[in-house]
Amino acid sequence: MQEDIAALTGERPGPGTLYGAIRRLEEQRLIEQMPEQDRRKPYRLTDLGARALQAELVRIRTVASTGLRRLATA
Amino acid sequence: MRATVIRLVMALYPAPVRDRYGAELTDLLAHSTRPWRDAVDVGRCALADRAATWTWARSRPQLLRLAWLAAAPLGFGLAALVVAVGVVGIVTAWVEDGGYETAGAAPYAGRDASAIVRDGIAGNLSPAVSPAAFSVSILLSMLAVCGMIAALTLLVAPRHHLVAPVLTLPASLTVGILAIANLPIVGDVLGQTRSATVLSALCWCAAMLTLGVVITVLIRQGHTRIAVAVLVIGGLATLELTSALYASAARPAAADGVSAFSVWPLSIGGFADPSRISTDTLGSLPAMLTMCTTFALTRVAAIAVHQRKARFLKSQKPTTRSQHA
Repeated sequence: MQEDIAALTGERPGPGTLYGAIRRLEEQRLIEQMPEQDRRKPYRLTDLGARALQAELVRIRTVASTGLRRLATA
Repeated sequence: MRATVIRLVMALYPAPVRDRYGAELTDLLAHSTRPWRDAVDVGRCALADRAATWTWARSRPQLLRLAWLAAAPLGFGLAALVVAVGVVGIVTAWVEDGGYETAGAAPYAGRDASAIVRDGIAGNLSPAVSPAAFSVSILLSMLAVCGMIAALTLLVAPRHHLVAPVLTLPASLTVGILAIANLPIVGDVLGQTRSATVLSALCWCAAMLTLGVVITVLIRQGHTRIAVAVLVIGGLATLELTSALYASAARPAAADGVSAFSVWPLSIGGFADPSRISTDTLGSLPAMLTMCTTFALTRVAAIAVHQRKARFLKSQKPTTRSQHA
């Protein structure tokens, strides 16, 4: 998960930062832990989490497209 | 080394977070390619979590325990004084019966033992009570109190949970010693030179911290005999060092001609020649540090043994369950 985030954002989160985020997401019921596979402990999005992520991505897309449009006309 | 660092940073997390994510975080830290950076990240996040979940109600029992620990040096001092008064009373009665009369009539007849202890500390002891008899009484009293401290600590210590005892124990006791050192009259009994007392107490705290870590690690690894040897030798070396440091800081000129290793054993019973070592300035600090050392090291060792037993029992549980299955 650390490497995945590093590839996506260019910055690898430390274990403390990562598990701080996981704990908050779990508390808000946006993700849930799946059964352990070998030594891996996978998490998955809940339905609530998927809806929240969808809304957040739409918001980001709106902000990004608006910003790019205004930058082009400036 | 890495395992110790991981244990330390994991101990910073609030217990519920540690119970829920401890195994995963430990696994990530153990296999990290940047262990120090990740350990700092975990430590920072653990402290942030602890600050976010801090409540007065939850912290009150721990703070009360630390306050009791800070008050412990005062309790040790009072206990030593009471026992010393008792022992000197017995010695005085013996002197009055003619068992150890050195000159003239018994001037302490009809007076309480606390007056003799007071005169003995002030150096105005009557010839009827030999200074050696007084010194032996004080030394025996202190040894008796140390024995009682060790016995009570072994009996009670594992029952009371203490956060990071290796750190909080010497730190709280040092706060207590420094508080006594700054009291108007009692502070002078502890040590006449305040700056030297502070230096000696801080040095003692650092030594106890180091010894505590070493003893805990040795006990966890199963080297109990080596841990006991480190406890005894390290404890004595700490007392030597802190007493010599005090003597050097308080009276640098007086300490020149004296072996540093003679300061503690001589001063603890008041045997030293005041013109050479000037134990007057040392006061009761060596005795106080001896009692605090006994308490701190015994308690750290008892907690480490208790934790090792608990870990062993925990590791046995799944085996028992699988055997039943």
